[in-house]
Amino acid sequence: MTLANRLVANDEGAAAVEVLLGGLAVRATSLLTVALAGAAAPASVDGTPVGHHAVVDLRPGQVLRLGTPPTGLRTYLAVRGGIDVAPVLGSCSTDTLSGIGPPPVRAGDVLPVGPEPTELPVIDVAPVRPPPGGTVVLRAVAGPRADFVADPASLAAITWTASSRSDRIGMRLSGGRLRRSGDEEVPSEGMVRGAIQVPPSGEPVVFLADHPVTGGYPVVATVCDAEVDRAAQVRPGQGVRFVVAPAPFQIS
Amino acid sequence: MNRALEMVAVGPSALVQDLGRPGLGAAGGPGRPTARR
Repeated sequence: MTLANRLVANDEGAAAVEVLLGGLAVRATSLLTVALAGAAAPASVDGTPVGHHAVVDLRPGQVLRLGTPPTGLRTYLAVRGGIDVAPVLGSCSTDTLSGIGPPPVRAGDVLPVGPEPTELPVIDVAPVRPPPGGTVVLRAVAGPRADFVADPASLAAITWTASSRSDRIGMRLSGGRLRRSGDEEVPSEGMVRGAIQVPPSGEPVVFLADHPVTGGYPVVATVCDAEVDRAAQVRPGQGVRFVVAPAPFQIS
Repeated sequence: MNRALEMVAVGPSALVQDLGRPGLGAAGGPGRPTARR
């Protein structure tokens, strides 16, 4: 999202549209400059293919269409000036967990676009690899509650499968179970993006952008922050492996 | 004509997103940390 914003010379924090598995079609009501990033959904403007990670001009009435990306899950559409919706609690984001922010976008909606920034785009194309297909390897740090599972090494030993029950809150994994080492429960603790929580089912959940701020199930490891964006592009059915580094310190 | 994007079709899901809510650990999206830190 930030790359798409930077391509059109927006502030990195400008509101954009996050598209799940393509299928979006938008019509420009005026001359607009847009950019796509993330999952490389085939894109066209009035039937003419256009590139990803590139600056694209839309004339009034032109329609940008996205197909289904071959890999990855989420495509970002930034428009020069940003999507101009009213912020709620300091953000224009739709929060799928709490339900605050603008409602999900529907066909027929008209999203206002803000005024053009003073800066101009400095590059036309940013050569960026699309999200990978196949099994995705994510680096993580053990803990803080690795001792709550009987065999913490199982987390790295199993090739997990991303579940279709995944969403912006978390990526649910199947293909194995992490057995708890005892019956002890932890009090609710603060959660971070990338936390790998183990619910009673033993199937881990990797918390993503809309994760709850607290949680009561043990977090056996935490995906490195730089890797979480790749986790958010993993499609249901795709394999996931973890490379787990020891925790730098222990929580007593 | 006002500057706007008209949604002609929406696939499985489309959401407006930015960098997220400061301090709430919510929203954001791939490409940025959870919240401004």
